[in-house]
Amino acid sequence: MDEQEARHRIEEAIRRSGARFCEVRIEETVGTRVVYRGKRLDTAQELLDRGGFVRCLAEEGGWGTATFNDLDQLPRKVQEALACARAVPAARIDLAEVAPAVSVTRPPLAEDFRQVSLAEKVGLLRELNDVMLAADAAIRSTRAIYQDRVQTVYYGNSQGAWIVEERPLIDLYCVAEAVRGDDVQTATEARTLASRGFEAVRGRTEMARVAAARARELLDAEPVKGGVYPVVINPSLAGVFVHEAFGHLSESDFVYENEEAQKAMRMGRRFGRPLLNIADSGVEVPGGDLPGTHGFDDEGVPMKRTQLVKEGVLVGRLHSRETAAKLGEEPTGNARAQDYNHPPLVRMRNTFIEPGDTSFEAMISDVKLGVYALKSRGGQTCLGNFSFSSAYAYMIRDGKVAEPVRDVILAGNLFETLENVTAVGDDFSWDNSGRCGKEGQSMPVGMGSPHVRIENVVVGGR
Amino acid sequence: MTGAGVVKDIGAAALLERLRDRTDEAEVFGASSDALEVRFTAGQVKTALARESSGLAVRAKKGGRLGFAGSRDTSVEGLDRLVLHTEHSIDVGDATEVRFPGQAPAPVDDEALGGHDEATAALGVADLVAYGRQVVDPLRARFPGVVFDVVIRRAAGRTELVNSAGARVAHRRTVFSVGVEANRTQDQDVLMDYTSVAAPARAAVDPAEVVAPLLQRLAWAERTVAFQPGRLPVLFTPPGSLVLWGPLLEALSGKTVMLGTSPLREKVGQRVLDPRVHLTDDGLLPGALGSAPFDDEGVPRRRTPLVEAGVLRGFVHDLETAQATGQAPTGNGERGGVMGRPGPGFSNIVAREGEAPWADLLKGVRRGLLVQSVIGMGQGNTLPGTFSNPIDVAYAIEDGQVTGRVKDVSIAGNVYDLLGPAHLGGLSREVESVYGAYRLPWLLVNDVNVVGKGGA
Repeated sequence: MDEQEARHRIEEAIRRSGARFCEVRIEETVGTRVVYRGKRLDTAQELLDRGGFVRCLAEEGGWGTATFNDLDQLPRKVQEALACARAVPAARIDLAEVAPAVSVTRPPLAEDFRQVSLAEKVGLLRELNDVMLAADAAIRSTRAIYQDRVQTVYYGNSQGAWIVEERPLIDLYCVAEAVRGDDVQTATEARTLASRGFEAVRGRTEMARVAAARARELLDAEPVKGGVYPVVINPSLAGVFVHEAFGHLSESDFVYENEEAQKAMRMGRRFGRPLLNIADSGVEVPGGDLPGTHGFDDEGVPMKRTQLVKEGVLVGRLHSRETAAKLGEEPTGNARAQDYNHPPLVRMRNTFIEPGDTSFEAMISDVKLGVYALKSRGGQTCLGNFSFSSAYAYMIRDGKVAEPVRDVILAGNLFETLENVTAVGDDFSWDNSGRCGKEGQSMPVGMGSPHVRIENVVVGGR
Repeated sequence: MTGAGVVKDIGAAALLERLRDRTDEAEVFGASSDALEVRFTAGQVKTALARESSGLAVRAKKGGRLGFAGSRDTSVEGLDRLVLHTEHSIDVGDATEVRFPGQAPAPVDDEALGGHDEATAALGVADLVAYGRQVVDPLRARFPGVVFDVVIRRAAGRTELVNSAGARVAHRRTVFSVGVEANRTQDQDVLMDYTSVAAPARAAVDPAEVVAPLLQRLAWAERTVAFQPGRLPVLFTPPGSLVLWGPLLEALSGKTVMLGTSPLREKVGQRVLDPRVHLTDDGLLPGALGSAPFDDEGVPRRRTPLVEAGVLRGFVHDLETAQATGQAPTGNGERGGVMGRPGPGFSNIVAREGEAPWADLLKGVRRGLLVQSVIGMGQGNTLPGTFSNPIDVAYAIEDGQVTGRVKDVSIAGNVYDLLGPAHLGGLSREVESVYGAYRLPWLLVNDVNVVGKGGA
C-alpha cells in the first residue's frame, strides 16, 4: 500500500466513524530472520506482516479497540471499535491536548538491508557462528541470530494528525554455549541497531570472539557466595538497573488511577543523593541511533527528553495522552505499541543515568569485599522490588578487581536502593541490546549509564 | 460486534497446490483467531478490545534443502510474495533428512478433549463485563485499599495443516482466561500479587474459585514480618513451584538434547530426582489448553513419560529433534504463530500428586518460607539447573502457621539437588491447574538457601 492510498483509507474511515475520538494505525512490516543453532542453519526466512489498529471513544463509555489483518475491513473495524467503546460502561476518558502533527519520516539507510539478499545475510551470520564454534573445544553449541525489519507506520486521528514513520531495526546476537559435564555456561553479545543499514553489522567478528571466550571462562568461575555486598556495576548493567529499579515506576499508567501510588511517587520526593540524575529521551542523543528514538509515539505525540530525577529528587514522569490528562500534566510522547496487534502503553524510550565525576579506580578503591558486576542477562521489576542479573562478574578485594564469579543476581527495593547509590562514574555508554516486556508487548528500548556504585545489595547465590 | 468466535478458512489447501509444482515436498500451516478482551483498571471497566488475526506459514523442500516463510498478509499479492520467499529460503537452506508425515489416525476424538466450546466463542462484551464484576466486586469489598486490574478474555482459534504427504489436519480451540493484578501501595511498601486462570470453556472457570486463593494471600499479606534468612524449608505453591520445574523442563526439551547442552542428554534410564517425582507431558488431557489430536506438524499427540519415580524416561521432540537424536517424534512440534518455524514445545505438564494435603505440609514446618512467586523467573543461567531469584510474593511460616508477608530475601539453589532425595520434603495430595496447561502439586523443599539482609 502506498502512502496516498493509506491516507485516503484512514481519513475516510475516521470521517465516517461517528466517534468522539478515533485513531487508526496501519502497519506494514518486511523483515528477515536468520538463526544458526550450533552447526545447523535453524532458520533463514523473510517475513511479511500487515495489519491495522483502531481505537475509539464514544460520547459515553470507555476505549473501544479493534485489531485485524485484512485491511479491506477497516471501515467495518472502525464501527466494531466504536461498538466496543459504547458497550463498556466506563467513566469519561479525556485526552491531553496535542497539536495535530503532519509528518513523514523515512530515515535514509547507508546500505538498505531490504536490498541485501538472504544469501548474503546467511553468509555474514555463518561467519560469526563459525568463529564461535572454532574458538574452543568447550563451545558445544551456539545461537547466532540476525534479524532485520522495517516497520512502516501510518497514523491518523480524528483531530487531524497524519504521520508516516519508517522504523528500521536490526538485531545481531552471538550466544556461545560452553559445556563441561553437567555444567552449561552461556555468554551473549548483542546489538540492536536502530535506523542503520546493513553496513552496521559488517565487521562484527569481535562479538563472536568475546561471546565464546566469556562462555569458556565462566566454566571456571565459582558461583558467587550469596550475601550483602557493596556492588559496582558497569554501564551496560547500570542501564538495566535504572530501567528496572526506577524507570517502570515513572510510567504513569502505574499511578494515574491509584492514589496511594501517586502519594508514593509524588513530585519533589527525594529518591537518591544529589549525585543522581535520571532522564528518559526519545529524541536524538549523543551516541544516537537508539532503539527508543522516534519522531512520534503511537498516539501521534512528538517524542522529547523528560527529566525524571534531578539531583536525587523526583521531577517528572512518563505519559500517554490519557494519563497526562488525568494527572493534569504535559504529555511526553511515551505511548508506544509493539505493533498493530496492541494498544499503546506508557513505555520508556531510552532511559539513562547522567554521568557524574568519580573515576572507576576511585569507585572501587575503598571496597574491602564487594562485587563488580558487568552486563545484563535480564531483569524484572515488581514495582517496589526488582531483580537484575549480570552476565559475568568479579569479586572486589581490598580495592582491586579479583577472581571471576558467576550467577550474580542482584535484588533490591526502589526506595532503598537508589538512596544507596553512593558514586556515579565519569564515563558513560549506551547498551542498545534491550527489549522490555510489559503486558505482553515487547519494545526495543535504550538504556545507558556510567559505572555506578551501590551499597548493601542483596546478591543471591548458592 | 465481532465475528463471535467464527474463524475463517484462510486457504492453506489452495496454497499447497501452488507449491506442489515448485517444490519436492511442502507443508502449509494456517492459523486464524478471533478474540475479545475486557479490561478493568483500578476496579472499573475501561477498555474492550476485539482482535482478529490470520496468517500462513510454509515449510518446503527442494533438492533436499529446507526452506521456511511466513506471512500475515493473505491478500493475492501477499501470497505471491510468500511463494517467492519460500523459494529464497530453500535456496539458502541446509540439507535435511526430515520428512513430512502422511495422514495418521487421530489418537482420540477431538470432541472428547473438550478443547472447543461454542458458548465461550459466542461471549460478547457485556458477558465479559458481567463476569469481570463477579471477580472484582468481592475483591474490592474485602480489600478496599487494594487496587485491582482485571483482564477477561475469550478467544476462538483454528489451525490447519496440510502437506504434500497427504496429511490434512484442522483443529479448533477456545480459551477463556482471567487475569487479576492486585496492587497495594502504602508509601514505601508496594505489594503486587497476580492470579491467572485459563481453560477452554467459561463454564470451567468459576469466578469464586478465581478469587478465593487471592483473597487468602492478600489476607496473609496484611502484616509484613521480619524474617531471619538461613538454610530453611520452603513450601512452594503450585505457581511458585515453576521456579523449580522451569530449569528441569528446559533440559527435557529435545532441542537442548539435540544441541548437546541439556545436562540430562545422556541420562535416560538413570535416577535424576527423588523417587516421588513423576512428570508427564500429556497432549491428550481433557479440558487442558495444550491438548489436541495432532501437533503443529501433523504428528499425533500422546502422553510422554518424562520422569517416572525419579528416573529419566525421555524428552519431548518435534520432527527435527527426533530425527537428529534418533528418537521417534512425540507429537510436540509447536509453532508460536505463523512467523516462526516449529520447535519442540510442551503440551500439558502433569506432575503426580503426593500423599499429604498441603495444609499438612504447612503444619509440619517449624520455621520457613511459603513462596507464591519470585522476581525474574528464568533469568540468569538456568539450563544447568541453577536458579537465584528474589522472592516476590512470599510469607513466613512459624510453627506451622503463616504469620505474614516476607520481603527482601532471595532464594537460590540447583533444582536437581532440591528435587532430589536429600531436599524434597513432600508433594501435596492436591494437584492444581496452573495457567491452563500445567497440573502441579505444592512442593515442600528442605534446607533451601534463603539469603537476605537479616543475616547471611
